[in-house]
Amino acid sequence: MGEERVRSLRRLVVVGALVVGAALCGTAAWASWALQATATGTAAVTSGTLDMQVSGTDGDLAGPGGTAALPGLTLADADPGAHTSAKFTVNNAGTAAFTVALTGSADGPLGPWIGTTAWYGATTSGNTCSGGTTTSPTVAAGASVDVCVVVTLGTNAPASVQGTAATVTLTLTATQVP
Amino acid sequence: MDAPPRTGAGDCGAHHHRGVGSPTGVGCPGAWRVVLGSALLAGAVVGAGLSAPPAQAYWTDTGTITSGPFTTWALTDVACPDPQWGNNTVASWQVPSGSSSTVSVELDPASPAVTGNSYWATSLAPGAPVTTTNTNASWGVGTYSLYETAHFYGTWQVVATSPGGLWTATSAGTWTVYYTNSTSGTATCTVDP
Repeated sequence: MGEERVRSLRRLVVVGALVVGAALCGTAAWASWALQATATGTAAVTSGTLDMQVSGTDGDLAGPGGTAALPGLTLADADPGAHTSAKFTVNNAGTAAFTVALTGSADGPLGPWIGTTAWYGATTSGNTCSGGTTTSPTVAAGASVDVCVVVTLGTNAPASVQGTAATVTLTLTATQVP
Repeated sequence: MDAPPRTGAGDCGAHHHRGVGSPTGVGCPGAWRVVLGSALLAGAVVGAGLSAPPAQAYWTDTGTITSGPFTTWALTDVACPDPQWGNNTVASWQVPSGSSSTVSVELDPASPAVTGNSYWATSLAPGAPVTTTNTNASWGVGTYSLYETAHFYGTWQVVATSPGGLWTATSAGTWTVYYTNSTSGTATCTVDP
């Protein structure tokens, strides 16, 4: 058998192996008999909605995004370790169940020294929260969950932030539950 | 037949007693098994990629809630006005409720000693600081002498401590009590910038 023929044969084998491999792991092409029919329904197909809203605040976050205010979450003359708390309610005004995640931040030089903790299903108790859990439950469509948040000035806040001020921003993210 | 010369790196290293150009060529059967296997594997990878399931995406909604003001503890409004002659010197300041303050006064080493006919007018004196929850403190130098002309002077300091005890803040200044006689003179007080 000539060299050239051997080489051609080998090329053919390699290509064939590539095709076989793709076919084994990819979608195989089939040929079969088929029969088509069309079915029509009377009900419209619509998509659901995910709409997180809040109450107990100034503003309710209706619709996507939005900003609300919680003026009761405030603290004056805080020294290291001082904390305050406030409560609001998260409402599911959509059709998709979701869980909630809350992160806090503060502007200005106080930013690095402000910590926030959210307690779901909790109430305020003095300047802290009582009950609840730090893990969000699943909020079903039409249901609500109380959220108590504690904001603390860290015990390691330096003297350089004495006599300063800040506003704390709580970012709420509702994520659909599959 | 003699074994063919080695061709260096790349030859199979097997002792094939066949020369170049023989009907079976210079082939290495083991190498072809590797090539075939690699081709099968490459094809499998491509096929798997073409049939990979679509990525999942879930709905989300995000909103922000802003707080009321947050302010921190501080020692503020420190003042020490010049007293009217005959009155004690009074330093004052502001700290949040729950704070404590320690005030101390010192006599400059070059000042006349407060001794003999002269005396400290309040409990606040060198070596006797006062700790208080008040926001003011006073001191003075009196005399029994009708011919007093001493010029007394020194420094003062207030150290405030926050309610939790983790922060302190300090303010200081100078004071003078200059007698021209037993019943007249001048007194001053300053606050360091």
